[in-house]
Amino acid sequence: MKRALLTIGVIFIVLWSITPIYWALNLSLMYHFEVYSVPAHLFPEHPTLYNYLRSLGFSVFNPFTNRVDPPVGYPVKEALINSLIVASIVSLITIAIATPAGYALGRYRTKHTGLLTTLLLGSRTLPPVSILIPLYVIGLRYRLIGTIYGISVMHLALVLPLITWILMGFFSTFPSEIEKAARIDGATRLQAIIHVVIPTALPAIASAGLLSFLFSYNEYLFSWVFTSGTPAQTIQPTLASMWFMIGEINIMAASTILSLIVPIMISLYFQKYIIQVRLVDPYAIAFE
Amino acid sequence: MVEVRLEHITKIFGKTIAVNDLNVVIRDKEFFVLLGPSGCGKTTTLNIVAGLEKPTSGRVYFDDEDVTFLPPEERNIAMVFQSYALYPTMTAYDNIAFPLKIRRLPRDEIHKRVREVAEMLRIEHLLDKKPHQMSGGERQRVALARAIVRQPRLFLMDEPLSNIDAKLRITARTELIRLQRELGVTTIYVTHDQTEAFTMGHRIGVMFSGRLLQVGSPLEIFECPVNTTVAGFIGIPPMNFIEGHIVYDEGLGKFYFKWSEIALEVESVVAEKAGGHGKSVIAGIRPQNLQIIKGESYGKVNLAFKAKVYTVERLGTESVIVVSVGGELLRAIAPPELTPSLDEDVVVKIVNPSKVLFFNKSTGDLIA
Repeated sequence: MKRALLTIGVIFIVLWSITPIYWALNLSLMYHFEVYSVPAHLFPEHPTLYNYLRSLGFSVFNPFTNRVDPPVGYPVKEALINSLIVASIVSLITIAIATPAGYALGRYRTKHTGLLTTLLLGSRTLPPVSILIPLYVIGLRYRLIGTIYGISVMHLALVLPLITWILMGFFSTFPSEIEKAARIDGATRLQAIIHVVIPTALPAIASAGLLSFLFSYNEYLFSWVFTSGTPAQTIQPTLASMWFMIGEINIMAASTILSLIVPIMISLYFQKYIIQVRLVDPYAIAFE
Repeated sequence: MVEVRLEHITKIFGKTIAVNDLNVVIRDKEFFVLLGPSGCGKTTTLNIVAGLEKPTSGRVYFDDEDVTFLPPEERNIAMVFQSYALYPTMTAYDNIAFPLKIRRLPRDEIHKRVREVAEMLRIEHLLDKKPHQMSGGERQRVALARAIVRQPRLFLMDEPLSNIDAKLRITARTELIRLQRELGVTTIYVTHDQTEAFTMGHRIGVMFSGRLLQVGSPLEIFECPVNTTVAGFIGIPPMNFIEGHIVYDEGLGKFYFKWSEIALEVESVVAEKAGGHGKSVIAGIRPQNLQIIKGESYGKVNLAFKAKVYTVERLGTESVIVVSVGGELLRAIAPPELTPSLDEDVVVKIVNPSKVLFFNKSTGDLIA
């Protein structure tokens, strides 16, 4: 009996999560007239890539209205590229910095470790919204507004503390004997870290990279404040601003699906590196 | 091959003294065992010899070289850990080759040496496997291979056999003994298992709470433990300790048990050292030297006393009979045929009275 309930529960949750995405996919492959059909079409009768092409900035011929329709009035393609660039920069720099920092903090406990950790995490106890305006002023001053560089810096400030903390937790439970063995085998501390610790810690590092990438890619608030209306506009604010296109919901759907492709692919790719990483804090709570 | 000398090694962590003024010389080619219960400081001492820790004070010498502050990678030693510490992302071959690669040996030389060592330990078939694909015994041999392949001048082993199941442990022990004798490399072996210590070591150093209590051959430690701590730790089942006092009268010493009228003759030398008349001492009698006699023959037997059976532990080849007398529990070894019942009255006889040891009651040190 319990088994049946569990299965039903699981099926329910899966459907709950998948249905919106499925529906968006469905709509994205339809022409406009099909969208509001009654009864609703679970599958497009005239599937087409028309919406995708328009989202990406092309003019497409619509066989049902015999007109060439213009590309969407929102910079979807540019925003996608911007988001990818920002997220990549953020995740690469995060890995580069958080790994040695997490290692140093996690492996070597000194009397300063507590203080450093508090300083590190202290910045995250403040809701980012509350410092938004001062940050904007700073951003204006240092020309961080409207540049890829600027928003990357903002994201790094948000992401680095938590990722460092997660890796710190990981490295503190990392068996130190492997390092000792490497040192006895003749490796210097640095060689031991490069040849032994990092390959063994790869799952954790890959997770850190993935988390920071997803965080940056999904981030809306700072991206909107700092980049909207500028050439550096990222995808989340762009998608959000497209709600005025509610009349052409199939194009919205196509843009949304487009924004999902890269994260899904990257997540699937990194799955194989993430075998078992004990995350100390569920990121859903800590991130916006 | 190296002689290791530890002089006044002390290691303090915060408020705890982990190693307290340790002095010992480990001879060239010797298999030296550091024996002691968990937390006595033996692993810390090993780490200091390895260079993974620096002593708070004291010096470590390899032959005549002061290596106290030399980093481990420059000491030319090899270490086998309790958990083997194999590199999980590398195959057995890469694990064994790692120390050679780090030293930038040419590839064919590496290949040759790895093969040699793999043959010696019979693990050629494992060379392509990763640690998580091997059993405990196989991993241990790969760890050993990695230690041997460098031809170091010193082996350090930290309880390498504790993670193997009991049956395999015995064969592994035999192989280790053979290997060490063949290679002739000085070895320092840390363990809490007496059997390992006794069967493998040339000499044993017994450690307790950071102090090295006694160093000697297995036989020396068994026959002449330097105090009650060592005496109580060595020997299975543990030694019985009985309180009493010694009376020294006209050149004749007698030890009187606390709860009995029997007197044990004591060598005058010992009696003198015991501080003369009426001094309280503790007698140590090994279970092997207590014999259980059933029946009424009490009055006629020398050096015997009455006791009540507390428990009987049958081991197949012998039995351990625990008796209670005078409010204390004593252990005796008996042949398997003897099967007293609980609470039965038996007679316990002291055999080999010359093997009884006497300890100072307040300090626990051996007298004479």
